[in-house]
Amino acid sequence: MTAQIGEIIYYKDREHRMCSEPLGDYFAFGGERPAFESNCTALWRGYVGTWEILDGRLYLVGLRGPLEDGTEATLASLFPGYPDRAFAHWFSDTLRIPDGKLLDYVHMGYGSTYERDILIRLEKGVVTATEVRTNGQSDDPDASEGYGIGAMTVFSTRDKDRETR
Amino acid sequence: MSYLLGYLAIGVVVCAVIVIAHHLTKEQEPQIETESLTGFWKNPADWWLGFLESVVVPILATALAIVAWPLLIYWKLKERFFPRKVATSSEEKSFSVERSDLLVQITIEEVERQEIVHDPHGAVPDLPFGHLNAAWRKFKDALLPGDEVWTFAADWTSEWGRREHREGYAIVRSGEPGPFFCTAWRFADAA
Repeated sequence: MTAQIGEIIYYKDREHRMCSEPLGDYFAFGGERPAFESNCTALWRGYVGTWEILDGRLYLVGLRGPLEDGTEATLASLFPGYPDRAFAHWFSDTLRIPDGKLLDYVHMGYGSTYERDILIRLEKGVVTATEVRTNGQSDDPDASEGYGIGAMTVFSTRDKDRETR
Repeated sequence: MSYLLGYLAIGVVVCAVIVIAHHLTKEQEPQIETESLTGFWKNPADWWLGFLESVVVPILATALAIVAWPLLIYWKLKERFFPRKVATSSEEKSFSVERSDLLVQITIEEVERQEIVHDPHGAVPDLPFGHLNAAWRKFKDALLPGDEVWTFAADWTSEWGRREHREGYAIVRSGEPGPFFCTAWRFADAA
């Protein structure tokens, strides 16, 4: 399994990539999952959500992902009536936000290790604790900064496009 | 020998058609989040990952396709005429609430009172389980006369060997837990 593209999160006025998928819990708990078109080995879930911690609460503020019918998923299509933000009250777990330079790249899931992990614990969408875990220090001046992936394969969607036209 | 060569020749033609079709459709590929890759490639030590995925894997796949081209055609036809449904994980299918996971009996009214979600930014409907209200109503629809609702908490190891903890509400029918509504799901090895 290829390393996965992370969800985007705005935390303390900075954009980060995170190694957690809060929408996965939403779908597992019975939330309706649109038929995402997974066309990339680095994005098996088929979408990228944009999140924000605001006033100690986790919100989904954006969503991108092609659907099997050829249209694009949006926040409004997933949460009708909430086109700007949806409170992630279903999420009771820890968000992991890698920070700093890459220490060890693992081309699978979210297996890579970075200098630091910002761990944000939430209970029903509300932040209960924040911790910064130090994993080490990179002595490689060329090491990449912040979460990234090394490679991916993108599949053609032409057949699907033809069917929907 | 000539049969084998003929078979492989068909495989080469099938592969060529697929490769040409792939190149013709390249401009149609959605470019989701490719910007996340920029910067990462600046690290020369990681070039081999791209080489592996862009060169080695396609070569191996091509060789396999030449040998097993009838399967390729079968899959292509299957994909076209029997499109796949949204998959659910095997973990979800195999998890069930056991009697030993049950905690306390509770009424629907109590659950709905304590599970109403509020948000100061108005980003959730003020309903039991908020954005998951429709799923909750579906769960309630499964209740039959005489059924009980219990809270549950379960530590469980998935088929993949991953230890997890789940909490929620379960319907108990004739003493046996059945359908459940999950409200928390944590992995034991999570950060």
